[in-house]
Amino acid sequence: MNADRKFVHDMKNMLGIIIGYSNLLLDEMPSGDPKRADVEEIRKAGDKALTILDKWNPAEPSEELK
Amino acid sequence: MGDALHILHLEDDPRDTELMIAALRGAGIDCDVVRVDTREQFVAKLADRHFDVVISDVSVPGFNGIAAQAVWQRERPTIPFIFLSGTFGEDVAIERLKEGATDYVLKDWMDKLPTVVRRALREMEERAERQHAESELQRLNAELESRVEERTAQLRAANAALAESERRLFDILDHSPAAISLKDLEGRYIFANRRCQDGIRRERSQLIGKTDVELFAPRVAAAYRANDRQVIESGRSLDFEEIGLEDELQPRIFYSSKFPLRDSAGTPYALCSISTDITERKRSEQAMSIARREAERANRAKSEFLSRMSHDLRTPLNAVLGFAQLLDMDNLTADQRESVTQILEAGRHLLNLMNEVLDISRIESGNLSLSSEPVSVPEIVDQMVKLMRPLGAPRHIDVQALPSAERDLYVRADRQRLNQILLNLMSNAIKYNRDGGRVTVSCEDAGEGRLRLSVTDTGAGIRPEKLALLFTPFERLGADQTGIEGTGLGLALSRGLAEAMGGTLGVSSVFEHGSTFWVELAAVSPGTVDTTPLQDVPSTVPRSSPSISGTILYIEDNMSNVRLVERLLQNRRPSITLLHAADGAVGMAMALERKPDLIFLDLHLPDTPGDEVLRRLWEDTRTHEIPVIVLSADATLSQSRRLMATGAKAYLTKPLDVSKMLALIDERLAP
Repeated sequence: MNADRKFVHDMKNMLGIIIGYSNLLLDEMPSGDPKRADVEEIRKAGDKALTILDKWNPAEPSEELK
Repeated sequence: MGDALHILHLEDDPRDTELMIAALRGAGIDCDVVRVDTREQFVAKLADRHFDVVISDVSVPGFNGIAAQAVWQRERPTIPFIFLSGTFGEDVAIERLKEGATDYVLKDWMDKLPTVVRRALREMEERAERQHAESELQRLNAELESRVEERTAQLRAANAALAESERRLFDILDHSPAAISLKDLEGRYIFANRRCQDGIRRERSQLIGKTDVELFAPRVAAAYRANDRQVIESGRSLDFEEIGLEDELQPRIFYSSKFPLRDSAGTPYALCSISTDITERKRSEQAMSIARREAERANRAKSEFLSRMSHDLRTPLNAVLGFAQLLDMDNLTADQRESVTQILEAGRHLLNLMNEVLDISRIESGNLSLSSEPVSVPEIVDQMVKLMRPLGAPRHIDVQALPSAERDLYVRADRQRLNQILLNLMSNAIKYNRDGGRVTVSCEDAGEGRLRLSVTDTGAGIRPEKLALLFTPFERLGADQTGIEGTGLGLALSRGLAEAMGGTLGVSSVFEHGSTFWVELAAVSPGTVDTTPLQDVPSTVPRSSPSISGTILYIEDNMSNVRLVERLLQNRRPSITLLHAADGAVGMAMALERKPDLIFLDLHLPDTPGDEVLRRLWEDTRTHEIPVIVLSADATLSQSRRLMATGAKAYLTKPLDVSKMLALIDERLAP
C-alpha cells in the first residue's frame, strides 16, 4: 500500500469511528432531544469529510461507511 | 749597439781581418772577431760559440765561402752571412744571394761594410720578429680552431638535448587526453597535439598554418575566434564551454582553458588552448538533474496532494470537534458519553495526522514560519517530564529528567515546536518501551556552541537497517509490517522541525537494549528576549450562565464554525446576541454600526487579511475600544505576539476549544 493510500485509509478509519458513533448516538436519542442537532452536525461534517476524501481519491469510494 | 758584436770571420789573410775590424770600429761598431781559415775551425767555432754575424771570404786555401755558406745554412741560419771578398763577380754575388747569403761587400769598398752589417743585423732581427709573429699567429689560429671545435661540439650537444626535450614534450602532449593547440595571434595553428588532430580529423601537417575558418563550419569557427579574441584582449587565462564537431551528428562539449603565451619581453605572441571533452559528464549531470527534479517534483506533488486534501478536511473536522465538545459539556448518559469520547479521540487523532502532513509539506516547501527565542532547557525538560509521566504510569514506565550540572542552559528554538519534538520523542520512548522500563531525558554540551537533548528508552531497540527508514516521511507510512501505531510522520516531522530551527535530530540504537533519540540546537545566553509564554486561556468548563449578556460580532466566512458558535451560545449563553459577517468589509461596517461588546475575528477572510481588519479596527477611534479575539488555524507564537501588539486581546486556535471560547466570552462580557 503506498503512502497516500495508507494516509487516506487512516483518515477513513477515523471518520468511520466518528460516523459510527454519531449514528449510534442518533439511534439512542429520542426524537425531541435538543442534543440531536449537535450530533446531526457531527454526522454531517463526517459525511462531508468522506466526500472530500473520495473527491481526492476516486479509486476507493467510501459507500460502506455511509 | 751595446755589447761588442761577435763576428766569425773566415779569412786566410790576418791583415784583411785587421782592416775589417778597423773599418767597423771606425764606423762605431765595437766588435769581437774570431778569425778561422780552415773548414774544421769554421765548423767547430760555429758550433761552440755564439756569433752575431758570419763574414766570409769567397776563397781560402782548402776551403771556400760557398762551402762555408752551406755549413752556416745548416747550423746557424738565423744569423746574417755576409761575403767580404776582393774578387766577387756580379754573377757569383747574385747566385750567393739567391742561395740565402745576406749580402756581399768588396774589400776595396771596406767602408761600406758597417752599413751592410747594420742592415743585415736589422733584417735578421726583423725576420726573427716576423717569424715569431707568424708562429704566434699560427698558434692563435690553432687555438681558435680548437675553440671553435669545442663550441661546435657543445652546440651540437645542446641541440641534441633541445631536440630530446622537444620530443619528450611532444610525446607528453600527444598522450594527453586533452586537445592542446597553439595558434599565432592571427589565429593560425602553430601546434596541435594528437588528440586535437584526431578531433579535427587532420594530420599535424594539414593543420599548421591553417585558421579555424578553414577547418570548421562558419558558426563554430566564429565562436572559437570570438573566445580567442577575448583572451588576447584581456591578456589573461579564461575558461569556456565550446561545442566541438568531432561527430557531426552528436556535437561534443569541451571545457576549454585558453591563455596567451608571452615572449621574454612579456608581449603575447600565441594563444594556447587546452580542451577537455566533458560531453559525458554534461550528459550525466543533466540526467541526474532531471532525475533529481523529477524526484523532487514527485515528492512535492505527493506532499502537496496530502496537504491540499488535509486543508479541505479541516472545515468538517473543526465542526466534528466543536460539536463533540458541545455535547461533552451536556448532561449525557454513560453510553452517550462513551460515544462522544470516541468521537473526540478520533477527531483529535485526525487533526494530529493532518497537522503533521501540513507541517511536513510546509517544511518541504520552505514555508514553515518559526519564532526564534532563547528557551530554558531545564524548564522545558521539567514541563515535558511532568506532562508525560502519567502516560508511562499504567505500564510502570519511569519517566525522569537526568539532572544537569549546569542550570543556566538555553537553546535558540521555537518553544512550541521544541515542545512538539520532545513530546514526539518521549511518547515514542514510552510507547515502544517494555513494561516497567525507563525513559530518561538529559542535556549535554555537544561542542561547537550546541546543546544536545537526549531521550533514552529501555525498549527493544531498532535494527540498524531500519534506522534510516524512521525519518522518511510517507515511506514510513507504507511500512505496514512494522507493527508501529500512530501517524508514522512524527519522527520525520521532528527531524524537519529540528532542521528548520537550525538544529539536527538523530538516533543511536542497540538492538534489544534500547534507543536514544537526540536533538541538537544552538546554545544561547538567555539575553533580554521576553521568554514568558503567552497566557493561555484556562480550559475549564464554565456552566450555563444566563446572566451574561451582550452582543458579539463573529467575522468568519466558514458557516460550519458560525453554526457551532451559534449553538454554543444558544445552549450556554442564551442572553448573548450573535452577529455574523462573512467577510472583512461587512465586518468593519457592522462593527461601526452595531458597536458590539466583543469581536471574534478569523484571520483567513475572503476579501481582506484578518490582521488588516484588526489594524483598521484598532486605528479607528470608533471601534478602538471593542475587544477583538483572533481565531487562527495556524498562528505561530511570534505571529500571535504580533497580533496581540496590534490590538488583539487574545487568540484562539482552530479547531475551536469551546470551553476556552466560553471562558473568554465570560471574562469580557461579565457584568
